[in-house]
Amino acid sequence: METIVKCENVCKKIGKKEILKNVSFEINSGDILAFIGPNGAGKTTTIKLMLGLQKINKGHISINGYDIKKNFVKAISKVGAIVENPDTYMYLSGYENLKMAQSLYGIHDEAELQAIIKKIGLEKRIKDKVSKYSLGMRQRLGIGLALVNHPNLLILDEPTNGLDPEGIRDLRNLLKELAKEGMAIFVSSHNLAELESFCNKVVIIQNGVIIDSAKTKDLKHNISEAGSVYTITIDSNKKLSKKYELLDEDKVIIKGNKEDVSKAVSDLVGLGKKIYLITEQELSLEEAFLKKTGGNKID
Amino acid sequence: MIRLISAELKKVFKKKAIYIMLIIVLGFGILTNLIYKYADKFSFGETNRYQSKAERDDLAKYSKTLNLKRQEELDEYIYDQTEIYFYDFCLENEEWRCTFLTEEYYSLVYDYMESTYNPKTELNKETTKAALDKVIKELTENDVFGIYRIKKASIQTELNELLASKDIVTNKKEKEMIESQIIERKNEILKYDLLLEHKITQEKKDASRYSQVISYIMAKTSNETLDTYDKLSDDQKCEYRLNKEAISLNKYNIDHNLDDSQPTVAANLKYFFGDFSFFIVLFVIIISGGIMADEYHKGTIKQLLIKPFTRSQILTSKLLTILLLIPTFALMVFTIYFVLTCLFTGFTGVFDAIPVYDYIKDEIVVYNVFNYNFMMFVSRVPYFVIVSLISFAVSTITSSTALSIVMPLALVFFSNIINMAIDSFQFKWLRWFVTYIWNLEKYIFVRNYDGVLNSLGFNIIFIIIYILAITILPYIFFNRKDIKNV
Repeated sequence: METIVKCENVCKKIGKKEILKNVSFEINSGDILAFIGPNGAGKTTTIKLMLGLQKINKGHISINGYDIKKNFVKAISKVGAIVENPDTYMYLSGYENLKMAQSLYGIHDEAELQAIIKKIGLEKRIKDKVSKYSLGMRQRLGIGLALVNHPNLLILDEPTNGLDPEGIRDLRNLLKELAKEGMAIFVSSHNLAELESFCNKVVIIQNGVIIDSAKTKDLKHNISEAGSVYTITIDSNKKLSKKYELLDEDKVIIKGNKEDVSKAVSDLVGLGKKIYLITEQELSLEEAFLKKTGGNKID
Repeated sequence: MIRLISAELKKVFKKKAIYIMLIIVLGFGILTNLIYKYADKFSFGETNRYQSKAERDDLAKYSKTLNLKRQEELDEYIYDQTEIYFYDFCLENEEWRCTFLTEEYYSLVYDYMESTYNPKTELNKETTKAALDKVIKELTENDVFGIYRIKKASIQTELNELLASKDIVTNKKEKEMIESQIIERKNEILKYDLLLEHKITQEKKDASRYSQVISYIMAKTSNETLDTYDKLSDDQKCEYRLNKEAISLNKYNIDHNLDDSQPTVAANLKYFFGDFSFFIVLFVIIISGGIMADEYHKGTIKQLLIKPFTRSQILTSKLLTILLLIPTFALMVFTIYFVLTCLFTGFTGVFDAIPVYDYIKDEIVVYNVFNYNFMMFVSRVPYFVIVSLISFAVSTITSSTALSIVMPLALVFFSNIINMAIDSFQFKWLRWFVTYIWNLEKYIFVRNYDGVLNSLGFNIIFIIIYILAITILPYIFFNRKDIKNV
């Protein structure tokens, strides 16, 4: 697995305000990394620093082994991105936008262009002026523009913005497919329900500081102070002693490790209870996020 | 870099603004051609004013009410009778005879009326009448060339008398006056020689050629009666130089029978840059102002900045695009106007000469429509470039399309006033100011000038300084700029 992006102790100040403080993370090839945080946390600023749109005050960002400050052209050459909005030339058609972007990379491959158009699902409207596109169509075009140079790093800021459920599904499938091919994907979004369906890594940022960085499944584990949380479904939890944490009429909550689960099962069987199901509790990404950030709502 | 420039050009030519501008140019070109073609039909006040019988009768009726015993009213009566005489003559004769009488012999008619109606006058009525009758006979019995010969003979007689008296007179001032009159008479004779040689009548069709002769003679006489050049005041030197240009150009036109009042391709396109320079400047400003500011407004600057190009390369590509568009648009506008003019004039005079007076060589240099306008364009290149760079710099630094258009336009609008102020108030220390040095027309054509001229080298040095200074600023700014919310 190759490290595509290395972000080391990056700091950014605007005036006296510290926007980012010692932000560090890595993205490897094949990763789909979700970069999440409350409003004003520094997500878009981080993206802009990665893309050279703003100056880094301290720290380093390297892409494909090239420092973004010292060797910008080489660092950015295999990067595709959407930043804040899909920026397109409204007076040109979708096709002209894609063609121009392709030619800027020195690529003149009509077949490839058509393949991208097919991937983003704009075959029927590609010759229309972008000013006539809906937001969702512009978003699709933006994704297409990010793919023209066969990037090995894709940075997407709110990519599902404006997409209908079909569009979101298509995007999800596309990103999974690209990740399988070895592309590293960095996604910043508020749509956590969508993110958790395809992201394998999560980085949470709050007030310019990374507060957690983990694999998605690890983050979603419902970790209590005692350990993981398990639910044992039995026939009835009536008349059980108060040492057990009960839920509904048929569930027992065990906080601890697998050994604790095994002991509890033995005890319950000894008490004559029937064991129907044992599950490890998993939080949704949103719940995990809220737990980490201490917030009541995301947006 | 070529990929970037190619993309910029595609973007420019996909915008509606350029085509709207060209349509406006087309409309303006049609209007200009119409004016040049039909100007003489709309010219007022050129026909002889003694054409209305109603006016003649009103004047006669009014003059009968005057009290001839009062001197003021008597003077007015004499004047009115002179005017009535002209009305009567003009209503019965061709316009050119009328013009001749009223312009050449006004005093003769007035003297006759004075001798007839003013009892206190010293003029003899028979003498004045005889002189007037003689002139009327000459005017009515001869064609225009006959009249020229008569006039020439009369002036020759006056010249002979003056030459004779010059030797007798000893008073210096009187002698100078006689010499001045001799010069005037000699040039009058030359005037009639030219009119006869080139068969120029007094009719409307020859009006332009006639005025060339008059302008030539007037300028020649003026210069020959002035003192030596070094002894002249600055104003007189200016007048002298302007006269030299008038002498050479008019003589050239006369010798080559060039009637510049006729709408030909060459005659119309001589004024191309005078008429259309503003459109070229406006186009350049609009494109230069929008090429950066629009990208900021629409957010597409982010797309450009995340491509594998340095910021300097991106900026340079936009700059080079602007520089390429200046001659491109000038050529487009020229072509539109050229085609329109050819259609309106029936392709008349496409290869006619455009004479220009070269002050340094003191000779006429002849251009054709194409190389003349090419040289005019070249002389304005610093002007176009500097204006576009100012627009581009403001656009890059402020991201404001409005400011990037208004600021250079203001400089263009006020440039003439600024330059006049520098010349009028002799602000020598301001002769490096941008509006004073950006138009090199006077150097390219080495034409006359009515102010103090910097040397060409001086102007070029300052042009380079301005270009460098205005160009460096956006580079410094753009390379340091953080892209925030766009």
